[in-house]
Amino acid sequence: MNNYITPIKREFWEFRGTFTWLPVISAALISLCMIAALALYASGVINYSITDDDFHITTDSHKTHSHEERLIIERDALVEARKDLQQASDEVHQRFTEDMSVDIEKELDKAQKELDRQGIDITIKRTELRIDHGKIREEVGRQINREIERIDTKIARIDAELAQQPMHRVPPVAPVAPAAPAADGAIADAPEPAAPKASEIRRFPETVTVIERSEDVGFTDDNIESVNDVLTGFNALFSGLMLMVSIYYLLSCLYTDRKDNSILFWKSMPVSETQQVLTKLGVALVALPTIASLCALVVGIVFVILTMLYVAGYAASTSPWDILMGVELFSVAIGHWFTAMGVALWSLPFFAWLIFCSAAAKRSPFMLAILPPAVLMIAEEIIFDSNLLLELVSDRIPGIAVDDNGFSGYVRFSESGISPLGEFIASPALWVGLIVAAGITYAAIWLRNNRYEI
Amino acid sequence: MEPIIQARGLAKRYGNHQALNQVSFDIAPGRIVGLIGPNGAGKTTALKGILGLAEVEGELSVLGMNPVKQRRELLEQVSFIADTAILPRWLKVSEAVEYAASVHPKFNRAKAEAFLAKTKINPKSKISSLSKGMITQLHLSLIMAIDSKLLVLDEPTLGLDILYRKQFYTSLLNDYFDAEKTILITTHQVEEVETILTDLVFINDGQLVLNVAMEDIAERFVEVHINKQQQDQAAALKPIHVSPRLGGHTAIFENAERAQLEALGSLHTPSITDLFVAKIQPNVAWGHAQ
Repeated sequence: MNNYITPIKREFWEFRGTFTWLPVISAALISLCMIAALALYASGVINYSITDDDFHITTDSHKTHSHEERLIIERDALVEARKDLQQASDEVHQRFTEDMSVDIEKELDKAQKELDRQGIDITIKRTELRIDHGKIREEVGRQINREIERIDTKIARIDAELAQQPMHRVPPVAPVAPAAPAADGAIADAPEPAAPKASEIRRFPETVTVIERSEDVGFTDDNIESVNDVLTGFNALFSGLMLMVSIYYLLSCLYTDRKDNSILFWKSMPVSETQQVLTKLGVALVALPTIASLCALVVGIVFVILTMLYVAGYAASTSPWDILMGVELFSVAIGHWFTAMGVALWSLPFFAWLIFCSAAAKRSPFMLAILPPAVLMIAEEIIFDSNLLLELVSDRIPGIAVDDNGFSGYVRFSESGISPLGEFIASPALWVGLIVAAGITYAAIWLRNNRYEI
Repeated sequence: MEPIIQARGLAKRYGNHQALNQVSFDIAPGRIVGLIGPNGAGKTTALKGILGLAEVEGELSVLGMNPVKQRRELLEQVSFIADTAILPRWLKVSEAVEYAASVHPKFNRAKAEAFLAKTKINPKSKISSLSKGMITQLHLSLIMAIDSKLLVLDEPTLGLDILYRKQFYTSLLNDYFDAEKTILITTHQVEEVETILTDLVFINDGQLVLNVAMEDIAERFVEVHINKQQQDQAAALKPIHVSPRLGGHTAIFENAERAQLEALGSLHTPSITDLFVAKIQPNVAWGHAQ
């Protein structure tokens, strides 16, 4: 058993800088930065405030605004938000009227008449989708009213707090009398929101994110979602880092021992070249992504703990327990790891090519890896005016990105559009790639056995 | 006894250069064989063939195995130092020991550690921080801890100072060698292996020029100091090599009649250095005297 494990260890001895220290130090630095950020926040150097479920980023520091002033700013913002909501509520009322249907009918009639007049034989038919306007109006109105209600409670809370301030100051704007949210029709009676005065300067925050907690789904806090997005981001970050390490490693692993002549020492040990080449491929494609996932997991755990501390200290309604229940630390890490394995299979021809170049290069494996394919591609472009090779190759080169939805991944891999596991395993493209990769790997082993002395 | 190495008609060509040309020899177990030749004579090519590092034409069997096809199995029985000071610089001493211990079934860890304990090498240090002599000591400690049937040393003492060289061969004889083992050494520093060899193989321009057991040398080769007056008489006996010396010449004869030679002067056994020159660069012209 040891004769299989020790050659793997050997790779970690040789590349201890990039395999071990690089990810560990990166993880430590990121964790330290996060801890420092929280510490700075707690000590009041950075001001990033949270009220209830809402995140407001205030760029002003303590120095320019007292606590009281900030309360007033926030109160103003809430009053603005309330106005916006009120406006929305009115629009809902105006938009959904039965009149719309009649208007459409009239328009269509007109169009039909025009067609008939011109002798065009088209009959316009209208299929009406039954929409319960009343129901929609009621539901939307109800939700908006609930928000208004919430804002009102917040305003009331701020007012109460302001009242407790030692230097009591009357808020500049008198609180808007909360509209009594009631049954369906009530919205129509809501007072018309006062148009904002042109001279009035809206103070930051301009928008207030309102996060809805709906009772039936349970806890679906957007904040928790963004915590998960951050965890995915960590995975993408470390995968990207270790992917670069893999490329560097595969290009140099069968080259450096030939350069410094130590290949003669390794060849004096009874380890076959087949085992050595496969060990190196395994290290690059399995061990390194695993290290990336582990580092992302550790940084993720630190991040979740810090988030919980933050929430415990500064959020009123979200509890650390909610965070702990909501995050998907392990499923994100494991999912990402499996993606990495998929990428390893899908991009195996690419990785095999790198290790082949490492075994074959006389001077620079990097140049050997890049130049001949580039020359072939340009030749193809000139002679046949096509980019077949380029498409084939670029499809197999892994890349890392996080998309808008927070799905991190290996770009090319997901672009290939065969991500469902069943389709992936069954796709002929995968198997053709694996066969090509096997051929290239065999060539690398052959070179190690026969032409290492170049 | 079955020979350890059996070579028949070995040949190897690099482009226009014939590195090995129809070389045949046997090496029996329990011998210390010196494979000696000038630079570029084909020594290293022959060794690479024996170790399965390169393919050579002809029939070659080492411990009954085909070195190229059964390299991994062969290396469990054969150990080698191809060049000293080639240990990877990033490796730590302790890691080198651990690696050998895990992948080599015949490696004796305690033995290696005992060898290392006798040196000044710190197990924690990296090879890049060791001196050249220390690297050789480390390499030798690793190799001598392997209970192999054949040990191949290619220029093992190149670049070492005299103290280390002496030490090297002393420990090789005392701590490693026994009747079960065979050692094959290549070197062009003939004088330092002279005393430990049991067999001598000379190779030049890819061809075998001499393959003789040390104990047969005295019988086969004779060196005679010859005065100017005896030159013609000596030349008639066909020396293989003549070199000028103070007041006359030194002539080396191979398989000559001792009785006839005794008439010329006192007989000696030639040193291996002289024999080497005689075989590699024979000179039968009587120099300035003629």
